[in-house]
Amino acid sequence: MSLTNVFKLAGGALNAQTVRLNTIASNLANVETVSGSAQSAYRAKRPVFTAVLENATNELQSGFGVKVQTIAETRRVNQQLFDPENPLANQEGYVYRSNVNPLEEMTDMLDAARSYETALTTASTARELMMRTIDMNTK
Amino acid sequence: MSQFDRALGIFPTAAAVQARRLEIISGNIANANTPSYRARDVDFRQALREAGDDMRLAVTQPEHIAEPDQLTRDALRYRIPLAPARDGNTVETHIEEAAFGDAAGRYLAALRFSEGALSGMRKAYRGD
Repeated sequence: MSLTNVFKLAGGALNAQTVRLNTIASNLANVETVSGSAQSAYRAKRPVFTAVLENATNELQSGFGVKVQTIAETRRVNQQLFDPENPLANQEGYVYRSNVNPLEEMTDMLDAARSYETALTTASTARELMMRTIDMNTK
Repeated sequence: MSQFDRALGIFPTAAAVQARRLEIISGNIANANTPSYRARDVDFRQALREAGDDMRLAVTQPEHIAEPDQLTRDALRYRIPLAPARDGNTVETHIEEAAFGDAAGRYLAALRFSEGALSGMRKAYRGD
């Protein structure tokens, strides 16, 4: 039945957005993280979503769900900071900052929250329609 | 065709098509952030035609022109985006939300009309 599939699709969307919110939280927590080398410096993480068919052999039979395919790291350069006092500093006295842009993360967070809300609304609307169908009243 | 089917008419089919539409649109909403995902929607007229054979025109005379066989044709269409994203995603959440609300409303309407038809039948059986 199509209405039950709405729950599956919305559930997948909630899951994907939760992963996204988690990576954003992780990125924001590491804004000030520094490291002794460019390789080990923290890089902002981004989930990559992909569309998947829930339970059908044919794409015409069902809606597409969403799945987190991978969590990619951004390629932006990690800034060097001259901080010889820092115990993590390399021989030249530099540390490498994380490449997280807090503003970017905050706007991404708002978008993720909105997407989460929308998916939740579709699930609750589907639930309401289902209940109305079950309670079909014939006086 | 049973008496019940006749009394209910097109409404159960319409509700089924709208439920299908709700599913497709919720898939669009789920994929609002998926790169290269293209939003789809159900062509209601086409889907209704595919869902119920009774809706098709019958050829009873040699002069009648048969309706082209559209059962194999896709009732799902890609939505044309107003402002496509750079990553190839064509989901516009506000449009999908509006379409979802539209489908939900139509589903409820079909349900309500079915209820009316059933309650009419019940009255006829009871005779009160």
